Amino acid sequence: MAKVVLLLGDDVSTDAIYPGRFMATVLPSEMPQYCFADLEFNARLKEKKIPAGSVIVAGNNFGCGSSREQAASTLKGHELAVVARGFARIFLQNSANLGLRTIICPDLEAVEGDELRISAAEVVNETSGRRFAVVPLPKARQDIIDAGGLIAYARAKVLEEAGKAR
Amino acid sequence: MGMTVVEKILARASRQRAVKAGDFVEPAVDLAMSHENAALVMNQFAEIYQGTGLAAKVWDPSKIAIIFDHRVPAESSKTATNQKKIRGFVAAQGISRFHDIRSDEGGICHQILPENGYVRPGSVVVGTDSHTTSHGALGAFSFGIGATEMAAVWALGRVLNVEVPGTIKVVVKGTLPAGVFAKDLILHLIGTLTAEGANFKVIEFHGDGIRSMPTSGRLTLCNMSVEAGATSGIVPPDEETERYLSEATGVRDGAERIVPSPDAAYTETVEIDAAALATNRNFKGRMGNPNASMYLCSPAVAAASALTGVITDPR
Repeated sequence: MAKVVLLLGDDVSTDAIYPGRFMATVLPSEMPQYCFADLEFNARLKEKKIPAGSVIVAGNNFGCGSSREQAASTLKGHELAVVARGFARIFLQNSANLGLRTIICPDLEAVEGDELRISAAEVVNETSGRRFAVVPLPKARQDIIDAGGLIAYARAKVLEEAGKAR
Repeated sequence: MGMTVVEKILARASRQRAVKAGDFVEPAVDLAMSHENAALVMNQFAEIYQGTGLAAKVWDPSKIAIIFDHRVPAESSKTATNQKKIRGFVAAQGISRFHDIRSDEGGICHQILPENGYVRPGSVVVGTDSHTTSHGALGAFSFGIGATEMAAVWALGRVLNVEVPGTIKVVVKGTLPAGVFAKDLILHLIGTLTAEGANFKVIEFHGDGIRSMPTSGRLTLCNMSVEAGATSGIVPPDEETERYLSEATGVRDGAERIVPSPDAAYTETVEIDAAALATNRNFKGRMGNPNASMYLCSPAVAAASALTGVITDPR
């Protein structure tokens, strides 16, 4: 079970998730502190009121705008999951690459405080008692997630090719 | 069934006879661009090689471009340190297409790339910047990726697990009225498609309104295609593409150009009557303080407003 800790609308941009003024930060370990820096939610994160595994619920086109992967990294740093009606392409890919849990759930209805049970096939809103189908990720993206992210996935390929060249 | 221009480019880059929307491919990269965020890419690149016992060497230093343009001059010691680290990396790896903060070679990445002849029709271009879509103006398949994805490109020379996108065909008929520009055309199209209407798709531009448009306008169309969520915008190469390559960059490669099949499959077709378009203005911008009165507008509106001091119709 995972609690909905933040409810957002459509077209949440990477600028809202991770404002551009913090872009000089290149160490993933320093990125979590700027998560939704301009929302009150940031203070709740800093006060450690948001347990790992909590869920952000959003509408369509979550993560639109810039290609900055700090937006996925900052959410991953807090071990949050995002359940959205839809995601912008680059953000969805960055999430798979970095191991941020993203769930595409086009018909989801939930509000802050609801308890969700998320499986590969569906999201069950335990508070409202309603169930919503999940759109599975394509296998090629799931493969990256299953490898533990793109670093590990690419490392295996680099080793494989070095082996062939030898 | 024939192929769209991007399907043809991806088939060639992944050494397959044909691909179709929804397939997954690993296309070879012809040009990999980063700006200041190369510092994060370097970080992730080193991570890939961690524990492998292999030297972290980029696959082909002649195909990597790094341009400082987002934080010029450095606004903080953090940025200055990042830029210094990138300079060291560029030297150590032998990256030649590096544009530092200098009046003779510096500039905005999406202008530096075409103006230096780095972008060729039919090539695969990736950049750690969402507006990498720009370079479709020259008939390349050009799209934005994240820093870790770029690190994998630096290591392997190809993009891993790329889903072949579906393509929206946009046909622009007629010519734009006086005072109305490519920027107005693309803002109109984004309004029609919505901010996510082209998500996971490519916008392929056609029609006499495109054929008569100079490359500068096409760069604007493709640059902003991402604002409709598009993976890329692309203009199939034509006489204007050859003129630009030859006159602006001295490229006369005589290569056969990749254009879409007449029977290519499109997810939808949108027709635009250019003559009916008007100047767009006053979209809320995303730069600066969120409480400031900042607007995204056509360059003509910006120029006219600069003269008058209030938001002004350039006509």
